Amino acid sequence: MALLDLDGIDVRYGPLPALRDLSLQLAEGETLGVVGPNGAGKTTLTLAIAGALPLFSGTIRFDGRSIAGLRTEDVSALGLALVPEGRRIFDGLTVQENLLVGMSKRLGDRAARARALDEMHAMFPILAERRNGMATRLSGGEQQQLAIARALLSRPRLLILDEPSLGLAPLMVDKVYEVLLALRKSGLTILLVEQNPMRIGIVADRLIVLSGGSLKLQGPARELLGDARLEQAYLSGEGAPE
Amino acid sequence: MTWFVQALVDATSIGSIYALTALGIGLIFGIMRLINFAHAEFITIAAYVVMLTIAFGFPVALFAAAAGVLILALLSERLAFRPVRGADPSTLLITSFALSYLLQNTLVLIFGARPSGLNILPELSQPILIGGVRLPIIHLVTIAVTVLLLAATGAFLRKTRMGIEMRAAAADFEMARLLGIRANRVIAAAFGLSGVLATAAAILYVAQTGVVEPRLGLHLALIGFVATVVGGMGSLPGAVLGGLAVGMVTVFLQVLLPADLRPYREAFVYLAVILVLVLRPQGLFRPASARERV
Ligand SMILES: Nc1ncnc2c1ncn2[C@@H]1O[C@H](COP(=O)(O)OP(=O)(O)OP(=O)(O)O)[C@@H](O)[C@H]1O
Ligand SMILES: [Mg+2]
Repeated sequence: MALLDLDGIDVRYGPLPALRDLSLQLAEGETLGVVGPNGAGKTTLTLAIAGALPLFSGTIRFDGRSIAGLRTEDVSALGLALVPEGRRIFDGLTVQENLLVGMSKRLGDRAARARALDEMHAMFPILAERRNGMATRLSGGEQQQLAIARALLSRPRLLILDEPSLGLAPLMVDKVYEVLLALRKSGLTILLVEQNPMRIGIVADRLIVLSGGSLKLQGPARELLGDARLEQAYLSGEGAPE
Repeated sequence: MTWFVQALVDATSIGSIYALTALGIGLIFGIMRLINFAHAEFITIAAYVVMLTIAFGFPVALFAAAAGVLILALLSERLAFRPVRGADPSTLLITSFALSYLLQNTLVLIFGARPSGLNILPELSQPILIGGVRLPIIHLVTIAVTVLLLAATGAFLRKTRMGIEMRAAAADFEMARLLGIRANRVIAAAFGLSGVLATAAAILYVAQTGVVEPRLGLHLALIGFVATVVGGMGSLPGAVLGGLAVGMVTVFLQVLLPADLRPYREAFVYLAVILVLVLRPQGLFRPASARERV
């Protein structure tokens, strides 16, 4: 059974459709890459799965349970975590406080929480070094690491990342992808959105191409990346759904 | 020099009450983007509860007022504001205005529009002599209580899990929820805290003026709103400093303006506010680096 199962979902902003009749499955332990041009509906997809946008129609099942209509915070409690577009680090909070907000009860007792925090500090040394500094003072790449650590602290079963490499220096992109590879190796299920499909082939098992709010192509990452239809989907789908 | 020290203590004391009011208003605005006009009635009702229960002694009245307003604040959130949460700003504004109007008129219905005298702690209205300066004890008590409450609120917001969640929710409410922060709990806690702050402001204010009337809170809340705007909407330290600043300006205008201009003191205060908004639209105490949150 798929860990995540979207069946014919439609999402609208007012009367404007952003996702149309979209279905996709994600197996436990799989890494799914989602690519597509500007305005394709990628961010909408991540927010809808994470429970921050209501569905107009269709169903989303997580671990066999329907999550459409649940409160955002209750979806998170089931084990979905989002590293959102633009990182959305809490302004006015320190690095450590940002991490604290991400810690969920699922981690267990005090000792378990401290251990989880240590793990994150080991994975992202900069977050330990700058723990008492204001989080928004971090560089873009450091903030991205913080956003990933903050999401991981909820011990998610599914990690969703929306354009984690956007606007980062190449070295930072390397760091982010290094972490993603390690997470994938550890068996975490990942849904990774990127606008640029090149890099995503390193981590994704499977790729879907979104354009104009609907699924245009899907298949094993290796096959799709060499496929002329991928470029075609980008060109034809430029812009918003009409 | 004597007059200056007296005016300074006077200004700090009235500024303290404005600061507590502004903090209560700023807390709710920060999290919900709601301008809670009913904060005025939280304050007024606290004063009336004290009036009704002071016969049983001050500690009983204090507890009754705090408990009463806490419940009122939680009920307002549950019954009036939760149903319109996430609605557009004008809906929130109208809801809060309607609730304020309803509560105020209920008070007029029960107690009449006329002011009543209320002497909470008569001992405190005595002045004491410090280094040749006569200072009303109540002013010093007001400042001390405010410092304590601000320190406690600050510690709550920085050191407790709930406080950190509140600040996160104020920065980006949707993101906080995406991380599992329970919206209802955080908002209820903010309303509870703002109710407690309203009670403190009410008691300190009435202890100075000795008068209770249905529009008592309106005066304070109006200045509280001004203070949050001056301090920079959404910044809690800004709200506190804004309250202090408005208190300072008010009192020093009273002292320094020629006698025939004193009746127009408020006009000068608002003139100063307009100047601030023209020159520094982001507020006096908001760091320029603070990003706009939409
Ligand atoms: N809050 C909103 N209100 C109205 N329309 C929106 C909103 N957010 C997105 N849209 C529209 O929905 C469509 C999909 O947007 P979305 O942000 O999901 O695309 P995207 O694939 O993430 O694009 P990008 O690569 O630029 O991040 C676009 O046409 C966009 O203009
Ligand atoms: Mg996007």
